[in-house]
Amino acid sequence: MMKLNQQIIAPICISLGLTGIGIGARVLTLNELDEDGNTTNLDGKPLAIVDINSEIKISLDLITLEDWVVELLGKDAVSDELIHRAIVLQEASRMGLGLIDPLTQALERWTVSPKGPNDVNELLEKLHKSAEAKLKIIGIAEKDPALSARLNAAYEIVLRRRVSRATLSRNLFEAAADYAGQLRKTIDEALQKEGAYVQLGAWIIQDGQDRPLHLRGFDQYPEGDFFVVDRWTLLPLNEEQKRQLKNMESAAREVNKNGIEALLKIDTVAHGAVGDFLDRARHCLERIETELASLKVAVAEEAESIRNLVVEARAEQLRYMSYVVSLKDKYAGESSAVFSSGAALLESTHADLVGFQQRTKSFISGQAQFLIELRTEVGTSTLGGSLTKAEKVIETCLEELDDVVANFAGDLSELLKGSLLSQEINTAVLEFGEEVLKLTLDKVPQSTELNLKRAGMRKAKDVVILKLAAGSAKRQRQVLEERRLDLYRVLTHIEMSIGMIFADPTGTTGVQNRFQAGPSYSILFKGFGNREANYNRLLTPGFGLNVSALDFDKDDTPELGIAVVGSAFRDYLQVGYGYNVNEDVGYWFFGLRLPLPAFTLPSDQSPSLP
Amino acid sequence: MELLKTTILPTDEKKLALHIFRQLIFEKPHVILVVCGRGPDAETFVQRADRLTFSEKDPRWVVWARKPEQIKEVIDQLKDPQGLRDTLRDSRGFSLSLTDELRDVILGSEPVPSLMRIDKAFTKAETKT
Repeated sequence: MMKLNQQIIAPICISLGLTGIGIGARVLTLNELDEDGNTTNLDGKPLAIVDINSEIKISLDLITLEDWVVELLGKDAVSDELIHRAIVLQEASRMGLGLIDPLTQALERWTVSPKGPNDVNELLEKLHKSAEAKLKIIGIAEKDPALSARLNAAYEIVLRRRVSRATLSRNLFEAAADYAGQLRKTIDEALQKEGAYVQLGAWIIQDGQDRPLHLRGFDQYPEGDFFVVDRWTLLPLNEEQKRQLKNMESAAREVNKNGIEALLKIDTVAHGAVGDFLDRARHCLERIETELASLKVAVAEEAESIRNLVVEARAEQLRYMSYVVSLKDKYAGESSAVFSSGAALLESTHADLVGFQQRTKSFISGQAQFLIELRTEVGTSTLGGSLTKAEKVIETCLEELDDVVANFAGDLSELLKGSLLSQEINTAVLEFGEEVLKLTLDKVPQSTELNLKRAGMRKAKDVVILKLAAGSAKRQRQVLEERRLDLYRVLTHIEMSIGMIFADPTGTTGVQNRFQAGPSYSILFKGFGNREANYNRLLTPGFGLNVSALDFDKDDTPELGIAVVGSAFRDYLQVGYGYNVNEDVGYWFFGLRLPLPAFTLPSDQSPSLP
Repeated sequence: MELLKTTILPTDEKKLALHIFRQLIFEKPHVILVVCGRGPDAETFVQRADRLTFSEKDPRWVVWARKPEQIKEVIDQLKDPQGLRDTLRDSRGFSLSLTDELRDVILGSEPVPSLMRIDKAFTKAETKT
């Protein structure tokens, strides 16, 4: 597994375009076969969305692949001129042969009177294209006596009898294609001698980690674990969901007691989110501080340059510690700041997280540099022993800090930044493993498949990358084509969503405010086969059943609310109409799924509801 | 000599030759190859060109101007985006597109055109530009 540097979005299709291969010419054709038996072509989209349980049928255009490989590697084996001739002849003859029937039909229509403008335009279009193809071939024949002889032989048919344009064209284009094939054979043999190869690899990327996937005929990886993301089974609440539900209950009590502002208090919400990693950072810093303090004593008799280094490092450590403590204070309930809106809260927290990441990275690199410089200055003096101990402690702490930044803060920051954006992936770091076969051109299979069910555990927003590459003994492997598939639960399925609803009773109840908050969960139908990116990332509409715990009569005994609900925007917003079974009262409601499920809201001990 | 899709312009009636030539160029939807001059080379050229006009339905056509000077005033009216007109003097022949543009000239210095050379001239007249 490799940690990805998520910075660069890789090009989807690389084009060499040196000697006539059409720009954007693709080797790979991808078709998705989903669980409902529908097939969807995935070509021509900058980013393809596929269902998480689908099978991807992969076809390779071997002629185009050969073009790419010859263009990329052929120059090492044969002359540019020969490659150019082979590619142009092959393309022109393919185009010419393909146009024979359409041109014949256009001529048939053109001879009918009266001719419509469409008939004339169609004829001209076909005539022009066919002429261009033929002129390319004649142009090469004028410089290549062998091709010229072949074409002249093909022309001789007209001396024996009057033939149609189609007959002569077929003779000429076939002769050219045959000659091109002969040239390609020469080139292919030379390529084989050069050790040219082709590779096709697939990876799944989950939470920044990549894992290779098996492609029949292209690698020796074993098939992955069979895993189906269930569409219809409603599982019992897992521990995480139970915890979320409990949090929602606490939050609902807080809201019912103090109003909606309670949710926006930084000291109640953000503390739980950021406090943990700030604590971890502070503990690390305390250990570093102890070591630096000891080191300062130990170097008291050493050269000034050494003392200065330690003093500087300690000063930097104290500055960073002060920064972390101030941040910790901000999120530890010292402040009673209430943000004007949820957006302002998220914006501020995100800015702090980004600042923390940058500041911590800078601290880590500064301390690492300090250790290197100190080791150089100290050399082999008697100080070496105590320095080694300090080095170990500091290095361990720096690794921990690095881990905090890379994982916890990174994930939370990503969540706050908005998980609505497409995951950015630097595909350059996806390396072909030893198990991926290096195939000569004649051994490349024409098709393969990627069964996502055989890709082990998956979840929505995972990404699959396919890379087609070629290389040789002399030339470094180069990527010819790259495709990206974003996995979502595209087909209709059931999802459960836990959140908080704000119920507005339509009858007489004991509720004093307009809304009463209550924990709830919704069972939603979603997906509906839509493969639009924004639909799957942002809109995610659904409808279904909402079940909530209400207390309209304020007797501290939860009452069951059952409602029909519509949901959108990744369930952040839900609206519905329900019925309080115990109180026999209907209610309108809107629901919220708090965007930060990791937040731990402080429990309110007061059992009373408004 | 069997010529199915070739119009031989008269040599003794300049007016008639001009009329026929003008009609073929400006009124008929043809891709035309004009063969100039007479003699065995021109005959060979015409025979080969006629075979490359294919079937009746095809827009290709051959005009044999045994006295090309007779049709000079029509040639001067042809569109010539490539500036080929100056090379027409003493040429063996030339091709004209459906839009009456001068597209290719087979020079007098070239050998008797082969089937490939004639087809190239026709084909140039069938391209877009």
